[in-house]
Amino acid sequence: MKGSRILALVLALMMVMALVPTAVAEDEPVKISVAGYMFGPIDNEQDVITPLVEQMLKEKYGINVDIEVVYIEQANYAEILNTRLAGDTAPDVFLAQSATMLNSYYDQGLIKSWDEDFLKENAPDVYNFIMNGAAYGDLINDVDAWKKASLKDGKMVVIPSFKPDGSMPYKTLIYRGDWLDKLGVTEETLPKTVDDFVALMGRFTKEDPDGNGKDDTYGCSITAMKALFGSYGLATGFSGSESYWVLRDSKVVNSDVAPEAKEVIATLAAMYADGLIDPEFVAGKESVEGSYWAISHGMVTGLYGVSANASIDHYRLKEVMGDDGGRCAQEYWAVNGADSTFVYGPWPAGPNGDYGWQVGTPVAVSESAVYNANMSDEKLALIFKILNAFATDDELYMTAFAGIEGTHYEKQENGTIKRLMGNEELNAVGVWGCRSLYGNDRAFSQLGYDLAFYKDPSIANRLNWFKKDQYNSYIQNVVTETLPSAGELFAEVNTIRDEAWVAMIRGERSLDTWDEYVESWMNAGGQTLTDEANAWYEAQK
Amino acid sequence: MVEKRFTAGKLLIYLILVLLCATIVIAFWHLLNLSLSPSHIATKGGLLLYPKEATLDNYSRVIDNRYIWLGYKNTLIRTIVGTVLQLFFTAMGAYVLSKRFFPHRTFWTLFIVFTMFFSGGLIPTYLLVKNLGLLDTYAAMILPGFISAYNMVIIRNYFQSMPEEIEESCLIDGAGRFRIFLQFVLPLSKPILATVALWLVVGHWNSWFDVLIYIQDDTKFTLQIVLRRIILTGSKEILDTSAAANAAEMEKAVSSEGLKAACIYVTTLPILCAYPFVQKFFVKGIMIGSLKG
Repeated sequence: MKGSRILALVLALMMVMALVPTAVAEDEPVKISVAGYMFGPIDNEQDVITPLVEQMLKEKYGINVDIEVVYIEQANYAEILNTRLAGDTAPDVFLAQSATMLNSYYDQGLIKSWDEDFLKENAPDVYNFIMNGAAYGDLINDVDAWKKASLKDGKMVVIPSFKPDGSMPYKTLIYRGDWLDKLGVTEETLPKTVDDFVALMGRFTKEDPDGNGKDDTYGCSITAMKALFGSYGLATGFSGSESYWVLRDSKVVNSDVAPEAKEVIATLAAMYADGLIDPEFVAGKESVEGSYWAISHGMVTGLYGVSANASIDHYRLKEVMGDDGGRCAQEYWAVNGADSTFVYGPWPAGPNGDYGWQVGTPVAVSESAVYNANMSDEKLALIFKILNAFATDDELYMTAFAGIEGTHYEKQENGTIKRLMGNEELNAVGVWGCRSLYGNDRAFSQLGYDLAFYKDPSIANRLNWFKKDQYNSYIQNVVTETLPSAGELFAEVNTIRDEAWVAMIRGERSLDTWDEYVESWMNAGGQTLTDEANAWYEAQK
Repeated sequence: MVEKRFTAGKLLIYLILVLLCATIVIAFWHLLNLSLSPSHIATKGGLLLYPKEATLDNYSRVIDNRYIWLGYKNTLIRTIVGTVLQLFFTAMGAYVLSKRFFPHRTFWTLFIVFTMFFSGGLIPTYLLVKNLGLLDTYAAMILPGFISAYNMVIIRNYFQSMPEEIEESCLIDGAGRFRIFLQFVLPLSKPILATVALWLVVGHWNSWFDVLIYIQDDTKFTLQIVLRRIILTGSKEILDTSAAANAAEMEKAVSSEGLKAACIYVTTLPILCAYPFVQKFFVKGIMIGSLKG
């Protein structure tokens, strides 16, 4: 008797529970979890922005969603995300992180793919904005590259970022002002050719530019040495990273084995033999472990006269950037006195008139969102509708991107905004939480691009300033996608390059062995990479 | 006779020990000075033997950080609850294994020791924790490493070294096995329990990876996770993920060296203070525990 009563109770309960979801399904918001680029965790108690965005989406567009902002630490993003993907607890929207990761997610069937028309249909404004070359049509020549980056096997898998700042130069040589003054070098007489550059390095080394009566100075740091590759139209990752692919006789060649690279190494070896280069040039006096990476300790402390380690954002000059300061400038002033100066210098040109530092491309996937494979097409359509809403509705976008006016940001006269809190605090209250829902670091809209780029006074100044002779940089990587074997082979060939070049510069290995170096580079995987690079390049035509 | 003269050999030994201590103390001393320095001095780098300009700004910023206090709370919870439970259950298991009349004792001991050499790997463990419904709970920080085979063997060895006869006399007095364990074995094993407890406490205090993997809820982040975030902000591995044009934005996200140092102090100080008090048990416990295999 007792048993059947319990059974009846259980059955009744089951019936009630079965009813619950169907009864409220109509009004239930669609849950979307997003793990974008964040500086710190969102604080659900303080989060005022996400509820506001949800409310606006619901009232204006009838899009009823419950956005869950998931914080994944940037330093371990891949590791954490991959564990969650394996455990089926990954968020709906997450970052592609890099072209290599994108490939691997796609190959494992972890991310959604869709037809171009699907995007066109659900986010028509975003689609048109991109197809018209983004804001002001500036990127009209890069639309094809954007399309290619978004596709895998003919279907779209990612919405790459598409921004003019991607290919904007961001570096110049940074000289010590006091040394130049001592030697009587002015901005006009700064070296503009490799020969003049080498000559100035000689004066830096031998004419006691710091005036302490001791022979304790050298010409340039390792990054400034790398700048000489630009004088031959190359961009190397010497000492640790991958180099750019360049075109030579309509074939793709890696900068590290291009014939001109030998000339650069010869120049550097001659400089070394002359004593113009610190014997410990690789020993980390540029970026010091545990300290901010962009600071060149050698240059700041008066060992080297010139460096190209930092971007000009780190060494801000009022006439170029609109304000003074920057992380490295502060350090420089702290060490050398508040009235000490640094000077932006032109890139020395090589025999063919080439010069400069590497620049990126307007198309990138590293910060772009991808979508969890286990979501329905309806949900993806909804996400694209939200993407479109952000691109068309400036009020909505401003809320997600900047927060509440007066509390989180102020409008500036020049049309930009000034944030009133630190990045982490803004993240805590929900600003940027929807970052991966509205695009990458900006929405696909005129306002998004104006705020992030065009209206920024320092950008306009800077672009104008970069027009000066030989301050510009234009060396781009011919191969804009990660090669299939890159992850596996680059480490090995880079080690071979680093060891060979250091030995050659220090005179421990003859330059006559260049061909042997190229051969060992090729044998260690360089040939495979070169073949893949050429195959990729051919496929783009 | 005890040698009391201060011989050259002894001097050498003391010298080496002093130097050894200095390698540890100087690092802490430097960090302390760094944490008391304003940013323009702290970024300069180099060894700081005294604070050139003292300021408490770094500490006040750390103390203002809400996550530091949340982290403290969570770390204390996991450390206290985890240590007490783990210690109790490890000792209980060790007690059973220490009894010679326990059937198939060798088999069960090896069965447990076996786990010291193999682990399921990150993803299977994650799946297990997830399927047990432990994600985002304190249990996820405590249960996966609940019983350490190594600790259990150490405690077992200690228990084994106790004379069986005393327990027998307790049995004659009418105590049950459980009472013997609680009121007789445990109090007599303070040295080894204190040693293992110290390992557990330090382990809990320092661990961060499990939180990184299992915990999404920011109110459950532990101190080490918060510390890690502050330390890592601005390091190259984070900055590299973004395009160069964002340098200006990213630059603002950097925490100063002094702030990092202050954070390290605030998060390590409690555990540092606890050490000396447990240390007296430490040497004793380990020595006794490791006597017999």
